[in-house]
Amino acid sequence: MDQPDDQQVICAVMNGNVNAYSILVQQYQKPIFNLMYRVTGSYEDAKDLAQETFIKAYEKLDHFRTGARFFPWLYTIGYNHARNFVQRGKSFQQSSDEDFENNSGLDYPSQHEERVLAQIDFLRIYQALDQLPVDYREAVILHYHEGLSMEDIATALQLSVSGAKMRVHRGIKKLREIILGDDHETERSALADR
Amino acid sequence: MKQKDPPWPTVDSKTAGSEDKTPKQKRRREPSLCNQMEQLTDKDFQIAHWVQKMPDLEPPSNLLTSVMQSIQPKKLSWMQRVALWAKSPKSFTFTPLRLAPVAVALIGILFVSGYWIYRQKDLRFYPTQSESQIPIVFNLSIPDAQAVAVVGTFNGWKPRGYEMQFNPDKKIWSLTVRLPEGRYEYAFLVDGQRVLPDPEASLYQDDGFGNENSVMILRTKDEKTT
Repeated sequence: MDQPDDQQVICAVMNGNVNAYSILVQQYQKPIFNLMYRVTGSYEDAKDLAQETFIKAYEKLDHFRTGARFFPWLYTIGYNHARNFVQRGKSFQQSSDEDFENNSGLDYPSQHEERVLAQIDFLRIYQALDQLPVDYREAVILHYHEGLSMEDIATALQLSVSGAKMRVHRGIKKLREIILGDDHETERSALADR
Repeated sequence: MKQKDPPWPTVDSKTAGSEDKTPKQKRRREPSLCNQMEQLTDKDFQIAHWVQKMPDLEPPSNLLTSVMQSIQPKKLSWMQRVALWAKSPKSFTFTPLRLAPVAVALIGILFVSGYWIYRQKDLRFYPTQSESQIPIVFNLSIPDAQAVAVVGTFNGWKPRGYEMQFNPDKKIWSLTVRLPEGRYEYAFLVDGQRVLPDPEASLYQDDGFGNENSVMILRTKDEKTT
């Protein structure tokens, strides 16, 4: 996930070049924003939390261990920040299909029929991910979607490596159970309609 | 940012703990993984593939701007800057032309420091031969001794470099050293064990251990006053 020059960018920031930080923000704003959206289900809250995460990371940059990978460290800050937000009693909103409708700004590409079909699959995945406990969901997304190693997931979620492996493995199993459960429900309703 | 195209089996190999390197570790860990983790099925792989390929939401276009407007340049102390500089990765390129001045400087430093150490050693252990110093001749008649040296306040009571030479004709041990003017206590170390005061000295001083040291006072025009 890290580009080879993350360390150099951090050095430049630490030496007073504040503009260099924009490189890191640009590079990681998408996964951090998506993390916040998954946790809050609100576009506005996700934007605010992502912004606060980057500001917090900037303020804590003195404590960043040289040689470590930046993204897992940033993700830990964002993850804890999001959890604190939820614990403070902010209501959690499930992301709805309407969020992803065409021209909403959150829509998926849908010019072709295949894409529409794929979109249905992705929507189902999104809905299933929403039902997954947050710890499992983030482990699954970090591994399969963000491509992080088990070591990096362990760092980001403050787990042992074996704990991270277990989360990913069980997460995908739970996800399957949710999706298959949905499938069975759909089939049952279709049969009932007939 | 993301893995380009990890096929499902590759994805599975990550979760299955393929980091185990040695056969010993594998023997130890495989049973526990097998017990704790049910094997992933084709459906699991398909779901993993969907998770991998699902599109991300685009962050708000003004997120970057709002972050950058909220932060101020960091002000570090010079200590932090030095520490940061020392810890930051650096690349050095060496060419013979660039290396030559450094090599010359290093050789020069080594030569100067080596010479300085040699001189210090010389000053510490051997009599100095400066012309401004007064030549002193020590004599001791003790023909049956195997080795005699002069020790005193001028050489830190260390005999090295102050060994006396035996003159078989006169049957005396003698040594000439040059010392700056001043007051000195001294004695003869015979065969490395016995300490004898100079029988020709005119002044003696108790050494605090039940023995006496000889005393000499040197002035510029005198050769030796004992």
